Amino acid sequence: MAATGGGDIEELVKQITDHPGVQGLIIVNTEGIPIRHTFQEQSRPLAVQYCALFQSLAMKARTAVVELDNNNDLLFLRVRSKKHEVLVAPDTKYLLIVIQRVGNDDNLPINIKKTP
Amino acid sequence: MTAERVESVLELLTYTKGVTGVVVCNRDGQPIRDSFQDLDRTRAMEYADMAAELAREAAPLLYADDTLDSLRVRSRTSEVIIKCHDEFLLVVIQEFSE
Repeated sequence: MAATGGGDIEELVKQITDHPGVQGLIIVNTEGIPIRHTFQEQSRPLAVQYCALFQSLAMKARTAVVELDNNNDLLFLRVRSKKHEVLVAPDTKYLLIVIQRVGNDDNLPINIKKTP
Repeated sequence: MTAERVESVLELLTYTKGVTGVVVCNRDGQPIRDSFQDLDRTRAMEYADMAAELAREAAPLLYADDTLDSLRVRSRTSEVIIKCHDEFLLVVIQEFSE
């Protein structure tokens, strides 16, 4: 990966991690191995765990989307909890996972603000 | 929340620009309310099933002291937003024009 466009990948990683609220980033290959992650304290075991869990969820979501419409395909997945939001962007060769904090401005019954 | 408020919220969601469907279902995937017009509720059943399955799959991914709030599944033509509650799921389908 470093041999082909490694600088571009680093630019992308820096661009995402510099965004306010972003807590972590993982890039996964097709075999489910994390090839890049930005965790510091927990390091690799946490990255491996996120890879396995969210890759499985992304595959399930893709199956559900294709079941509804054969010509459709999954582009993006967001899993939002009370504290964190995990963004999953699947691609042919790689899977990008970003973890960010959730703000506390979501108290309206219908949140008409723009999503972050 | 009174029944009237639930109705007004559902109506507001249904007639929002870009929204093509709204389904309220329980955690087992049984649709309770939907905005589709087909009598056999096929589309509502499909979306309810999808929402229940994804919510079930996503719940274990969180920490013990965290709860699932919502899921957004974006595909090429549409985005399905699944708002999660202890007993119910609210599914909103919105289409894109590209």
